[in-house]
Amino acid sequence: MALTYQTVGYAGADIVYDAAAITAVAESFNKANGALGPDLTWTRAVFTHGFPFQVNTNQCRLSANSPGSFEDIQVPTPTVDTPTVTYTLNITAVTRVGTGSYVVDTGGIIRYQSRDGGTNYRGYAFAVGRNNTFIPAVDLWHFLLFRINGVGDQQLIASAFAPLANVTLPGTLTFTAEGPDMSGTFTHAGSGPALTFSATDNVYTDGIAALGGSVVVSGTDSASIDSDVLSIVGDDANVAPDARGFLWVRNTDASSKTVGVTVPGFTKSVAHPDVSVTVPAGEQRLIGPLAPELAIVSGGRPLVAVNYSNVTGVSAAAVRVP
Amino acid sequence: MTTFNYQTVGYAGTDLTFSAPTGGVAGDAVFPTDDRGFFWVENAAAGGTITVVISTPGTSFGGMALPDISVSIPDGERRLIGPLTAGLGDPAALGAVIITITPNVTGVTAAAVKVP
Repeated sequence: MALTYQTVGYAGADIVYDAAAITAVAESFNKANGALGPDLTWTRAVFTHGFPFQVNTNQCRLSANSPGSFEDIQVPTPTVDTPTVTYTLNITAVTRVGTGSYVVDTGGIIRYQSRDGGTNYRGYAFAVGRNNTFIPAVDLWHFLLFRINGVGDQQLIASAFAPLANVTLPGTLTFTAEGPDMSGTFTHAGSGPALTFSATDNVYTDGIAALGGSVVVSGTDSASIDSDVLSIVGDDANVAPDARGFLWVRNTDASSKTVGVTVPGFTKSVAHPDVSVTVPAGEQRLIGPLAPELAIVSGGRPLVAVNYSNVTGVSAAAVRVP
Repeated sequence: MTTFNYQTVGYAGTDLTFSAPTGGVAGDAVFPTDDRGFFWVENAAAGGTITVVISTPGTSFGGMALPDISVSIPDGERRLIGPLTAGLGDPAALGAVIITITPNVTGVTAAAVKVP
């Protein structure tokens, strides 16, 4: 979500820094068994059954061994809440034991928002995995994108399938979204081509990115899917253009940071250089004015694009003079 | 009296320099007025809440004096006050904005800032 201007006033503006100047998070899951942390702090959302994502042998595992349909959402902290996002996840292993119907997949949700007191959610969910239910009794790899309006209310808006024999792990799920345009690619080590899809949908335009997945098993079947190296990169910390506004960046970390402001356009075919400001450790800088000439179109709206070399200890505020 | 000159926000990244105000009856000033400028006050000390008053020259209907702008700043907090429009310039002070900080200026620093 873009920074919102706080306005100087005669009542004395008490500026609040926005810690949402987070543009990237990563998680290797390469840690002791158990909880998903501590590289990121994770919060379980919506689903409370007994099969959450857990760390198993340094992988993030979603599994189930009793009949039923199990989904899980894990929300990282800090979060990347930007309309433009690239989400990647390595898929390292899938197991399935049994003969019944099953679905097992994992991926993510973008523009995720919790609803109904944390018992419901909406967003765009994408996942890669295996199933034998889309074509009954035929084992397939699938890569799907749903618009989730709420639990039990979803629409499939893009999909790709491949025979089991054509896909070999490890594979990498990459999902990108910019405004209404979304696309996904699952590359792998098998003989078949990558699974890809693209879709355009603009029902949901904001919200955070979260880890998600599902397992459906029957009878005494069991299934699991392992993933590793989650990466979520956005272009957040954007600010609406305002000729009377500026960006106030504070760096409380022990190392300096570089703040970049994209300068669009060309002069005589030469691209305008971006604004680059170094904020030394323990210091702050005021950058602006955030004139309309700096605006690019992101998510269907004009925004001044701000990027940070690293966000540890960095917070920011957008301030304007009325 | 301390007169604060504007520090301008820029694309190089403005590293604000805060100065100690004089405070009290002697007052402080920002010159000139600028409708894209504001007064930034930091109250870092544990000396208690301070009050920043910006004099508002002129009169209203019936010759009633316009009320001054008064902002309280608790310990450890800051306030950005503005814009410092032309109407705040005191003709008796050559158009400067007159500011009074009470009851003390211990640990108080300030800067005048403007967006170009």
